[in-house]
Amino acid sequence: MDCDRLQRWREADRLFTMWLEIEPGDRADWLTRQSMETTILIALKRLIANHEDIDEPMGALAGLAATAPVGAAARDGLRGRRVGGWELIEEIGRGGMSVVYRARRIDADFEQVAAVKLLSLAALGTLGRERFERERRVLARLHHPHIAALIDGGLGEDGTPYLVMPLVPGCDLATHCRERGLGWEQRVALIVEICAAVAHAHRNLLVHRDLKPGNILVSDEGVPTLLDFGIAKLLNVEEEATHTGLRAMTPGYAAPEQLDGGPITTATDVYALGVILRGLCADLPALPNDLRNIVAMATRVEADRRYPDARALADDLSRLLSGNVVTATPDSLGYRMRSFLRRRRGAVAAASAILLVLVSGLAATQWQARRAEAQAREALRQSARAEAAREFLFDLFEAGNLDRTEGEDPRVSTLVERGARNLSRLDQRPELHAEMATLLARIDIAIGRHERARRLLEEAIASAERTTDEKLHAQVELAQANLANATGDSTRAGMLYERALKTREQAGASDPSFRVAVLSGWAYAMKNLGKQDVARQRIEHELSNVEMNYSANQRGELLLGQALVTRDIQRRLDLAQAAAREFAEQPTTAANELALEVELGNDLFALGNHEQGIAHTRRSVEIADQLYPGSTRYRARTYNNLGSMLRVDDQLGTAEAALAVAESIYRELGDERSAAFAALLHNRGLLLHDTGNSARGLPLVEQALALALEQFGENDRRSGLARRSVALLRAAATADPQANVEWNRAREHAWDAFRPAEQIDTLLIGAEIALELNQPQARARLLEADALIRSGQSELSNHQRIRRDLLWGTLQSMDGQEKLAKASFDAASRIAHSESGNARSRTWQVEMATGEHFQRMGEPSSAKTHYRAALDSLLELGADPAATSVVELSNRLAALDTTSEP
Amino acid sequence: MTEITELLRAQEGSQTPDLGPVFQQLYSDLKRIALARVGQLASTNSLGATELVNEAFIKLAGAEKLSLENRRHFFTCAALAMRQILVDQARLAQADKRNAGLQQVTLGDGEVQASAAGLSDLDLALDDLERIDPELRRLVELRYFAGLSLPAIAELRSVSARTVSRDWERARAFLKVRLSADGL
Repeated sequence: MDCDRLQRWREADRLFTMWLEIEPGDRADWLTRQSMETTILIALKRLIANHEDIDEPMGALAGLAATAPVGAAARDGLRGRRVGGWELIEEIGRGGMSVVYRARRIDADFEQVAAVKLLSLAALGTLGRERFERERRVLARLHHPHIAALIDGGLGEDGTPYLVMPLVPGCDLATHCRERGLGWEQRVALIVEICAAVAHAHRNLLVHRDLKPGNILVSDEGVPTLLDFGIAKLLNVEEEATHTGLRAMTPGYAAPEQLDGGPITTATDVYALGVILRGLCADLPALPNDLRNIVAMATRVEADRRYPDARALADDLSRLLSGNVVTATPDSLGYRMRSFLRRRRGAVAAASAILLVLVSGLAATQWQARRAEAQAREALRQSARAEAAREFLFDLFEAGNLDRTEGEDPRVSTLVERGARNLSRLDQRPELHAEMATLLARIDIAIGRHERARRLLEEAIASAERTTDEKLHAQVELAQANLANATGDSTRAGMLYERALKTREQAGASDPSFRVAVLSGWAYAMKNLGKQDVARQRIEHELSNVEMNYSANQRGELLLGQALVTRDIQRRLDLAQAAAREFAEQPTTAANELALEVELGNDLFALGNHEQGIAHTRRSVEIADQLYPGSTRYRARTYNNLGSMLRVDDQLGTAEAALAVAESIYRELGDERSAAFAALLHNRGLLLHDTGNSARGLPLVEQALALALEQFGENDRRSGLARRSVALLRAAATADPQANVEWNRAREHAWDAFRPAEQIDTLLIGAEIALELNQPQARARLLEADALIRSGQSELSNHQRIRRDLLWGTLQSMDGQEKLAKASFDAASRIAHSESGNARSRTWQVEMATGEHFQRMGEPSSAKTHYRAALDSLLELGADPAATSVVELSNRLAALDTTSEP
Repeated sequence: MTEITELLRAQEGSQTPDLGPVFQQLYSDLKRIALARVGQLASTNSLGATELVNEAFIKLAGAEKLSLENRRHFFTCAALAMRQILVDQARLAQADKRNAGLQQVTLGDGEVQASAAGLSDLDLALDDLERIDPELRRLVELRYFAGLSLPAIAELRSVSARTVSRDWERARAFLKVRLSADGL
């Protein structure tokens, strides 16, 4: 591929990626709006033409195989071989983990032909011979006219497990129905027969696990037979394997619990039967609604809400055929919400954000309705509005039900889009219009669709102004403030929060939940503006105000807000733990849980409890993955946190992975100016420094510093940390004397903002810079660091201990105190090689400093040994061959070579 | 602890680990397993890449609780090793063709069959894909040669299932174009 062509296809791939992200319905339109070179357009169109829906049950490889150059399939390689008492005649099928042969029984008085299925050795690998035999005997006892019995089975001479089943004449279920042109009643009748067979197995506590049309053969007389009963279980590799995707099942027919590694029950087969039924009837016209309801009930995500077993499904289908009332009913909206709350921690999270907001939105409406009971006229009006709001929301889901073919929740963004379109129906009812527009905007803020949120809120404010409802006004202003916070406009956010509170107060009696929402958001804005103290005092005052009568949940949220604007880490942790206790008393929203985990993770880590800190941060990543899936700022932030902690904990490889996730999200968001992105740049820059590539890390930390200064000013802790890192990397990369000036500046402006561990770090870095630049302050800075260490405010990390020992060692070595120096280097080396902690990635720094020591002592051969060890462990870390320290070490080794061999 | 897990653990925590030894070890282990099964069974055709790699994982590493990072390394190396084995076999088969009859290699889940020539075409196509985006090549290798499911890959890469699905779409569309009669 030449350069032009590469550029062209890269561009086409970039556009194709965008195209894939667009709702299928909008793609054609999007394409016409793009302007690009013809050659790129042609390439893009070819990619689009070769695109297929990934969810097709055939699996993705089939599509690729169809166009890959294909040779004649090598089949029948086992023809003539003997397995157990069977001779293989010809291959009649194969799957991912098995090959099936037509076979003949050897040494029998009678001619017996059967199907021999050879299983992958992997099945035996985990099951063990004994269990395989036991399962096989259980299956052999299963007798039913519609189930292909297990005739024989065992292990072949070479250990291959095999199973023997009768050869069943006929063709698969889907083909049978299509070729005979069966109507829906006949198809349903076939499924009822199949259900009876499955029900028989269920009574014997056997689950098929891999039901699909290909496993159901129908004879010319129309008699169905089930194949491979229970074999999926033999193929299944349990527990461990669920994490590696090794489960034997067929995508598209597999129930959610099979994908999630949940318990397999008879309801698992019910799900597959539902999917088969839906597939069989999909292209038939005029299906009864009850049939749709039955399919929907059979394929519900939650296993315990399906038919319990095949018999129950068969019974309902029979009722349908005989014209009786079926038990299946469509999901109600109320149910969907309750069940959402229940499975909030579960794996199904696609529509989580919208439902969360919907639930709280409805609660607010109902609360208003309740309050209004005191005033008769108001009450009528409000409850009518609450009713209408419910209708409006219900409508979104109703429409969702119609095109829901996969039994899954519709996409959040789709629902909002639909809602935005439906808003015009409410033009005559400005209150409702404003309320619903605000609700939709809040969802958009949660999923990061800020532009659409802004438009919706403009509509909302216009409608709110047509009413006299001040509470509504306040709600819209609160949403606008939240949007400003989300887009990083803290000044505007702060102003809007104040305004929202004022508007709400004018409307009369205070509303605790509204106040909590305002104050939490406002605290966040104040923090970003560096006005923590003001915010802290106000929230403290609020919490001590008994008149407000806050609930446990609301107190928890306020405590988290207070933690956000508290500087002392121990105090922050106390506040977060107090919030956790409040939430334990009264369950809270996932958003609050996320905030709590982030706070706990940050605080514990900052206080030196790395293990717990990382554990809570991982939990925050999990919640964010579920609550804000896709490319959202919340997710990026949690990954960024995790990456930074892992970096400090010297888990450099995983740190890289986490930061890479964060970075890709920010790039997808086009969000390259935010504070969070600055932090990310900073951390990646330091990671590069730690792997010996200070020169490449330097521009990253410089950019981070510029962003931090722009947003937080010189005296901010973050600006100080960034400046300090710039100093370190500049000294290491360029030995620029300016680095020392830079360090002094960081210390001067941000020292008080630093945490104890950061102060120690900063002093160690200062000493390192001074040594690097041959400037005299190294000893003084090191002594100051030691004094801080002795004061015991912060436990030293392995990284810090190694650094301190190396710095002392180098100073002692320069003073000619050979023994002391050697002891210091040995101490550093011991930490780097200790089993506890992850400090091995620091080995190269230890070796390099030790090498320098020996060079100073005039022992070139020892110096060479250590330099070489440093170089090796640096390269082992994956350092770039052009990295600063790699080049430096290579040069020193070369120089030593020339001096030692005159 | 098996040799593989030892090798994997030794690399843990390093930013860009040297997976050479892991690859070497897996290459010979996979080959041994393949020969043990295939040698006996006369030909290569009951050998699916998926089951081979899965089998190797269970035998060599399955008993250990491997970290995500180590599992990622394992499957990355296994995919590379499997590809190498298939390429080796394909070359061998092509060399044999002059003497013996036509011999082919089975690749993938029994649905995908690639001739020797096809495999090297695929190799070239993967090279091109790598130049578009190296991540896409790794994805295809994990899916195609190590036989991992998309959710499993998402977990290994620590990205969302949606991202992996989207990347898979990108890779697949590109490969289909690249391998079509018209080429790029």
